[in-house]
This record gives sequence, C-alpha cells and structure tokens, in this order.
Amino acid sequence: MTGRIEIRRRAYLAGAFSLEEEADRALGRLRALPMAETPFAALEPARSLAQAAALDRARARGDALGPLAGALLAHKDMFDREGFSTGFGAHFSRRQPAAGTATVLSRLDAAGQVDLGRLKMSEFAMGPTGHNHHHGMPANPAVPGAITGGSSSGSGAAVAAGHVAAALGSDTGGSIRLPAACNGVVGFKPTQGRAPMDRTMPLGYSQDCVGPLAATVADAQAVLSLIAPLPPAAPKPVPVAELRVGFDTGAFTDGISARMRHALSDLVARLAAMGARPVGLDLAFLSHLGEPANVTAMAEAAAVHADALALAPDSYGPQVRARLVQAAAIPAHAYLRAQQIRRVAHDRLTAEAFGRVDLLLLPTLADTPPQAALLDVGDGPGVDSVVAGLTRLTRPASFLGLPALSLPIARLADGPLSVQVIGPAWADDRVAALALTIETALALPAIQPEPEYA
Amino acid sequence: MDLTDYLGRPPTPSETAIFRDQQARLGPGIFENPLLRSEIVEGIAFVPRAARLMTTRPLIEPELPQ
Repeated sequence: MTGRIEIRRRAYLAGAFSLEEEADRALGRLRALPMAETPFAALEPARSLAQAAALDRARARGDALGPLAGALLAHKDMFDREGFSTGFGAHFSRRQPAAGTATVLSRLDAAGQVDLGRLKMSEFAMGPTGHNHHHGMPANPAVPGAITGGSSSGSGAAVAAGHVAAALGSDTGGSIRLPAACNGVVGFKPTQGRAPMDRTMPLGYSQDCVGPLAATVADAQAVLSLIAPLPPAAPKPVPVAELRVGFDTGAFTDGISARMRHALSDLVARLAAMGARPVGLDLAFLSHLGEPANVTAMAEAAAVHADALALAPDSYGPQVRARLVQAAAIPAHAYLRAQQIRRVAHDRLTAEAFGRVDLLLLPTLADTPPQAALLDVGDGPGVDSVVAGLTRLTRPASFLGLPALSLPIARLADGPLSVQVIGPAWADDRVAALALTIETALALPAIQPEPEYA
Repeated sequence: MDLTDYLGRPPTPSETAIFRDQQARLGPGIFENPLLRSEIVEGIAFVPRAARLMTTRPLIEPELPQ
C-alpha cells in the first residue's frame, strides 16, 4: 500500500501545489485552533515557510528532491533545533535554547520535510495519559473526551487530526504506541539503539527510543527508515504464508476487554486464513516486568533531573515531581536487581517466544482509550497504578529493547482498538511487513481525510 | 535518602506517601520478583536463587546483527 507521504510527493513533483502556499494555509489553520485544544506547543512559521519556499525553488530548478518533499511534519517538543528553544512540555522557565540540531531532525530536513513546529507532550515525557500540569492535554481528534495518551500526546493528536503526515515521538515505556492507540493512528517504536538520540531530551537512557507516528504503516516505516537506517544484516521480513505469529494465552492479557479479545482472535484467524501459523504462548512472566521497568526508568530519570529538582522543585508539576520522588526510594542495588530481572526476561522471551515464532501480536491498550477525566489522578500513590495500568502491555517491548508497532484493528463508536506487532531485536522491517499486511487486509476507514491529490 | 535534601525543601504529605509506597513495592516487585526464580534458560532446570543472582549479568543491549 502506498503511503500518504509518497502520494503527496508524487503530486508535488507533478506540480499539483506550491509547498509554500500549502504550509502557509496549514499555519493559518493551526493559529486559529484554541490553545487548550491544539496539539502544537509552538509554531515556527518563518522557518517553516523558508523551508517550503526553498523546496519550491529546488523543484523549479529541476533538482532531485528527497522522499519527504511535499509533506508537512511536526515533532514532539524534545528535539533541539539550532536557533530555537526546546520546551520539553515543562514550565516555561525550563525552556532551553538549542546549540545545535538533533540528527533525527537534520535527516528529515535533508529528506525534504517541512517542519511546522513543536508538538505538545507530557512534562519531560513522564506520563502515559497525556495530561500536562502546565499546558493541558491536547484534544483527542478521534475520540471526544478521551485521553490523547502520552507522552507523545501532540504527535498522536496532530497526525489523527490530519495537520501533519507524520510526527516524531519518543518511547520509554509506551510513549509512541499509547498515543498512537488512543488517537487511532500508527506508532512505530524501533529497536533500542537504532535511532540516534543526540540533542534529544533523555528520560530513561536505557529505554529511550525515537520513532514516528503516522497515518499509515508505510508512512511510519518511511520516516523511521530516514531517521535511522537498519544495519544490512537485520532480520528480513517473512512472507505471511510462512509466518509464525505468537499470541498470548496466559495471564499477561487477562485484563483485556472481551471486545479486544474478540478483535484479536478475529485478526489471528484472518492471518491464519492467509497462511500464517498462529502459535499460542503463555507470556505470563511478562506481568512481572512492570516494577523493574518503572524502577529503571525512574532511577535513570532522577540522574537527569536530581540537580534541577533540588534547585527548583516547584518548577515541576506535582505529578512529575511525585514520580521523581519515587527515585529517591530506589537504592543502587535495587536498580541493578531490576537489570538482572531484565536479563532473565530477555532470555526467557528469546527462548520461549522468539524460539517458536517470528513475531508477537499483543494488544496495545486493554480496550478503547479511557476518558481523560477518569485518569486525572493528581500526585498521590494512585499515580503509579494509572501508569502501571496504561503501560502494562507496552512496557515489555521497551524494557527488553524490542521493535514494536501499534496499529488500529477496529474503529468502534467509543474509539479504536489497537494491537502491537512485536519482533526480536532489529527485526523492525519484519514487524512493519506484518503490520502492512494487517492494515491492507483490514482496510479500516481512514481516520483523517485522504490526501487531496490521491 | 533524605527527601528534604533531594527536594531542596521538606516533602509534602503526598510526596512522603509516594516515597513510602515506592519503598514498599521494592520488596515484591524487585527483590522478590518471581522472574528471579525462573526455571529457564538453556536447559538449566533449576538454579538456586543466590546462584542465579551471582551469574546474571545485569546490563544488556540488543546486539547488532552479524
């Protein structure tokens, strides 16, 4: 299936529109959005229009243009761009002027993107709901009143609303896949270590990944390939007729809704009809990764934030500060014990799952996205149960460094149901290939308008 | 760790509560985590917990494919 970015690129190269005019119109629409609803933290109109005009001139000269030519993008407000400030979803006093540009942005610039600006996010990327004490949560365009999911809340909402073709996010425990699932779009967390992390805000060093959210699998894969080419020896896709697909039959997915179970079961049956071999696996041991993953993330986050926390604790929102306080209760040997648990889980998943299957299918959320009002829980110990509940199904792939792509498999009246395709390390292309097969087979109605020039 | 040093001011009641909650969760979630008693990995049927902890290297990253 051809992605929307490629469709627009072809139209742009054929002279169907002026990118400068297109960007100007988009900026006009975005300026008109109410602050409380917009997924944008900041627009960068002068730079965006200059970028678009330069591409129009290059097209007029007949220069070769990159694979993103014609596409409007925007990114989570955690990537440095020289000459601008990075906001991190934090209090305005914490903005930092950038001394250089993140490699991931430079690569997308070189590929011909027009970057419209900075997208809202959970404060310092700490929060899976999308709530933000300082700046609020952007509206979920797919499900009125529902959480956008976090921490890449603006990225999910901007793609779902059709403001941009794709947006970079980051994922430490589900922060790409959760907003993708909440907004009914695609989110692709690559293998840990694949995407360059320079000049990007750290949260938890050993789990942080940069990756795209996009309207289609092809778009997400295209953007990911541009920011982070795979090594040549990475595992290749497996034809669906030869594919062994694992799904959980154990307690790890006990908590999912009946309709999610039904949708997943239908999907597995559909893949089987295409020749794939479904393999039931008991993945109950993944249930024991929540606390070690959280201990790891919070201890690493404290290494980033401890100095600022002691100097200006009240520049943090109460919920983020509360989560950083968790780190003070984690001694060094608890952190290292969490890494031992991580090693054991990695070895078990390698032996018990990827020894028997090529890919895993798991739900991303237990059901459709919850309403925002239900999860605005303040700063007490209840925070942890909300975090643990939302990230239960996404954390294992983060903690074990695995590629995982979330895509919608049903659109219900109260929101989308989404699954993750998870692979062994570096099997990102295999993950994308199955996701594309699923997307094509299901042919769900588009969440945003098809491109004008399709 | 002293929370007043950590925060640069005395903790609020909810900050103290979340600190204690995290301390309490380290027992079942980390030090007594069932995965540390896993009967797995390359044919090892049973490994005493203490031996497992001594032989489990904690730091991993996905290895680049060869």
